[in-house]
Amino acid sequence: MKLGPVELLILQGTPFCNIDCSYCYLSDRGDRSRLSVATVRRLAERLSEEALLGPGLEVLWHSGEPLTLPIGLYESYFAILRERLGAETAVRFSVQTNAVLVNQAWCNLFRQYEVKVGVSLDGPGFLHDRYRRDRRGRGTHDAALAGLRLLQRNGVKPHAICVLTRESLRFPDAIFDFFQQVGIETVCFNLEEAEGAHTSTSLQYDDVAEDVRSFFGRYFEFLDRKGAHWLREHDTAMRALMSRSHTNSLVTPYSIITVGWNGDYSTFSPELHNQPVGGERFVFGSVHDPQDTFLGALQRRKQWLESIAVGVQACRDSCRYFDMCGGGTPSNKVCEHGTFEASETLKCRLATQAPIDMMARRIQSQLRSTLSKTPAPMPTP
Amino acid sequence: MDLQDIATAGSAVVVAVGSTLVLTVPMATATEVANATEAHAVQVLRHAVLQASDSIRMTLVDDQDRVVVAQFDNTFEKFKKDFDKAVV
Repeated sequence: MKLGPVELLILQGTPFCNIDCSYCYLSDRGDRSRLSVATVRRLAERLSEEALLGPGLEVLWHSGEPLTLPIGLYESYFAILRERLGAETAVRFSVQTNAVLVNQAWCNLFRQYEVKVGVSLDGPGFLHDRYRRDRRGRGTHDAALAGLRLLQRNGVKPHAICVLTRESLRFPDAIFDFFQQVGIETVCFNLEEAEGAHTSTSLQYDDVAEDVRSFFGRYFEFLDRKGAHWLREHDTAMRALMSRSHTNSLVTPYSIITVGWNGDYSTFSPELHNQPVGGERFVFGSVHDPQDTFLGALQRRKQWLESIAVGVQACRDSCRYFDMCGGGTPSNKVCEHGTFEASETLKCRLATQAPIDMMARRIQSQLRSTLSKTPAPMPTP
Repeated sequence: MDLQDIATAGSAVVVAVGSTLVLTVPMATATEVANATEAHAVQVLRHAVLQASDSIRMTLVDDQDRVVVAQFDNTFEKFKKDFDKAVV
């Protein structure tokens, strides 16, 4: 089994979130615990000592609202990570935020450290505010948009993560127009998933796959416009179709490491971190445990590795999209099927297969159209 | 450079996929894909990619139709926008 290198390090600065989205998979988002500087220091030491790093490392603060922590804490995090790891790998910082708390000081920090910022924005207000509400049940669209605009005025160009629900599938035009109007250059769609504390999704209905294909088909048409934003699903579908093979970081041990606020860590799907799996929490070890090593933790958690490998093999044996995907998403397998040893999930059908299908249809349609206009070659005399 | 200038002489078909990506597909491959049923479009495209490493040429252009990157194999790495790992 391929191992690492670590390309993405997800740090849970805090489980706490200032808002209360109804589709959130985190169960403890009222918990104000914080990731300590000592934990980040120990983590950096461990990554360096155990030689898990490759040429580049993206460090992403996620799983809880990063901007509920003091700015000074990030200055300490960034300084430690650059100091301990900067000579070994190119360290880049990212945050995924709801943008409600963005102010000038945050913009200054992001610019100073060249932090890549992702804003959670579900399109126009009538879609966004349906799920993304504060703790009093009020929509957060206006506040998120104000945060986005402040970032943009400061030269920070956030990408948007937009969760697609049953309702939003009906509005590809409005979503496209919204992102164009607000000047977002990069958009990523996440299909609403049943994961963790969010045990059901609005996308569990008959014909959902056809609705998703229609959505992507329509959205891909819009991307032909000059100056259209970049869409992750468009790029990944094209890359899936046109690449000889695909590496799936979600099934590759230590390609992704997720570290909770208390120093507990896990690998594979970040959404699995600390979730109950087979009667245990999905945690591989703690960066604070003096006896712990990343490689030793894999041995201790061999049952999960083996089950995930069985699930990947099931994909390889049964799925015609396997060489474009590489084995699916363990978190969705365990949530939908109760085991890692499964193949296709709803997420596979909606988030992987549907965009690939629509991209292939689109290429086919354009080839047909072009060929119909191409004069037949002259016969050779 | 105009998109039409990217077309290779004679035996290829050029299609734009999105506002920035252009595919140049050999005539034989284009015909095979065009004739497939929609349900088989994915498999036929994959077959073309897997069978011949230079069967499909991909070109990335900017908003003014200037070529940013042109690629002649199918690794697709040059198109990577250094982005996808950040999104979970």
